[in-house]
Amino acid sequence: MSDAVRDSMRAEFSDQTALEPFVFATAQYESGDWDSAPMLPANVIDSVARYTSLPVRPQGVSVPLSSEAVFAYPLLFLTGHLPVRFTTREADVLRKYLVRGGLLFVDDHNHDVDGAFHKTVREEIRRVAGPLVPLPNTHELYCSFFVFENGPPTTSHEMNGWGDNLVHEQLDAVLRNGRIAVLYSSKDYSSEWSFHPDNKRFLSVDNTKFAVNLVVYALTR
Amino acid sequence: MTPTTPSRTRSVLERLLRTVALLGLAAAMFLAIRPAGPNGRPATVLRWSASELADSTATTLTTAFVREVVAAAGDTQPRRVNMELTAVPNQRARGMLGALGGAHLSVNWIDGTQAAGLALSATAVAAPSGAVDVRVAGAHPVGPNEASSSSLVLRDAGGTLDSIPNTRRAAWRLASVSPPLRVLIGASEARVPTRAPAFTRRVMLVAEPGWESKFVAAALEEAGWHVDGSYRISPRTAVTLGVPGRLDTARYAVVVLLDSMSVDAAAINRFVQQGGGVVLGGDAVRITVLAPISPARATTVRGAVAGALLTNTPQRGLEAWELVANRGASVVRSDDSDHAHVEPVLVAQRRGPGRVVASAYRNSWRWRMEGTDDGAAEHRDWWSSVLALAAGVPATEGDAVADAYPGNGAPYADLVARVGMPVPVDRPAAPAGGRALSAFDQRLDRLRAAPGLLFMMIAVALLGEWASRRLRGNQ
Repeated sequence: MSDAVRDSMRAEFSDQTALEPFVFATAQYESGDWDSAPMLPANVIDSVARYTSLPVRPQGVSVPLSSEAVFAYPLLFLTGHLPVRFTTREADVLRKYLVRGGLLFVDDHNHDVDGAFHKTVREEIRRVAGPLVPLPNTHELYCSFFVFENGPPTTSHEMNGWGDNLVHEQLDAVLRNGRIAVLYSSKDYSSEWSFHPDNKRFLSVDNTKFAVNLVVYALTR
Repeated sequence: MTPTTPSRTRSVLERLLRTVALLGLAAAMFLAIRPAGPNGRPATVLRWSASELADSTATTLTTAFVREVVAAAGDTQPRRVNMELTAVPNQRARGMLGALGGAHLSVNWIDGTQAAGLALSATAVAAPSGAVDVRVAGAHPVGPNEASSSSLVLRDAGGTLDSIPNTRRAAWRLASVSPPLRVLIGASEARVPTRAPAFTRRVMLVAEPGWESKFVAAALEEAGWHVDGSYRISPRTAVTLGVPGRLDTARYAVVVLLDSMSVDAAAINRFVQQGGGVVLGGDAVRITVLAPISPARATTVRGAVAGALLTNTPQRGLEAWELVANRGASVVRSDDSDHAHVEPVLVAQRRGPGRVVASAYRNSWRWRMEGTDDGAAEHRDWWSSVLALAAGVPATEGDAVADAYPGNGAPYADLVARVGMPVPVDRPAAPAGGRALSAFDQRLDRLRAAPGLLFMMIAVALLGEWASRRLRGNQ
């Protein structure tokens, strides 16, 4: 089918139907600092809109983890620096969210395996969803749109020796029915993707491409 | 002794006794001349035990039957046979009994089997699980011998699957069955040779990338389908799900269209004409190029009822297209609406050898994510049922070979079909194809059954008259 024909059909179809746009959602939790990466949603949304033809809402949303409103957002981002302790309500909602098919992406903003966030949030994930296991670097997440042959891309914080001074070779995950339910990163994508639009640091190599993979994976798997 | 003139009373009594004796003799002569039975021929009463009926072959049963009939009827050809069956005859015996009708010999049989009509159906569900829908319906007790409290027992080759007391109707969805499947209620048995149909478990999903396609694919995979698809992520990039191939019934059972505009209508039409199934889900009911095969026309979008996803009618919490079923289409499911009419939400129609199903719900993923804790299972079941409608289950080859005699599925029903309904034990016999016994015939049969009574009546009458005459001096 030619692009012209497809475009005309898309126009006709769009008149009749409205495909739901993707909405980037950040989880609010009562403990810790859930909003430690305020620029991140805008940059991820920008990348999704720039690289793909997926309909995407220009603004992200922040959703209390204790609210069943999170069920409307099957991809949820959670980050922070401080210790995390889910309330009973938050744990209950998150458990249901994962059972129903939601995907929770957790990133350690400290980039520190000895940090309070890393230790506490992994414990909370284990309590709610089960143990995290290393995700193979051949997982389809790394080729769902862009191809990352060596697994998760490194961040400048890893390369500059901040945090735990480690380059984490793999991400960790909790899998359900062959799909990623919880994806955990110690690489500090929260810092990597939370930059001001005028920042020229990433003009040569766009480090948000992996975020596009994550969104495409969540939408298609 | 000098004979005396009898009194008037005594004379009347003697004449009466003589008349009775003469009538008795006349009746005996009539019974001797007039053959028994409604057709004027002697009836033969045979009694067959359960072991004889179960073990006998056609040859031995036929030989024994002929011998008994000839012995009972003498050299007169019988027209009617009365039988009491204490067990349901085997296949060959039923065949022989059925053949009697072809020889103009009617069979009246008394049901001593304690069996009753019993129907068993086993239908393979058009789903990868290989599940079988089983339904049983038994007739209500028809005789005093039949226990109404018998348990309904479902068995397969592996043993007893379920047992339900005091019921005659039941339905199951069995995950797997080792054929043959049997159901028993008391002495009644029905049997079907089930086999899992061999059909492809692959589905082609044609949709835009999004939550709807993601969760529909997830639901189908949870139900056991292999889902292939291709999502266009950008003008030059597509993401594949599974290993999508050419749309062909050898590869795919169903193609599910959700909201994609990249539809190859010619390929889908060809697929339907090959016998494939098509599901038009949500916005796909509005794809113009597929309107000729769509079973319904979508008019407007019915809004979601706020909060309904958390009720016991979560479907009302979904947006849905108002569907108008085409002529010849079947409305499979409707929702009660807040409007003045019920709203079709699942419409199906045959298109040649294929099937097309329209599902009204948009964004059904919300049912799974935003519904109750049962929402995920309900969402999966919904899509499983939609695909089961669209996917054709080919007839299982080999059933006829494995069980060439279909009457074996329900032996009692086969017996009734061959020799007619049993004679109720508390009513006069009504032979199949013959007339009912008259009251006169019944009295004659009773007299014939008690010849001593007739003899006693004649003897008493003659002796009485003789004694009366002797006592008054007459010789």
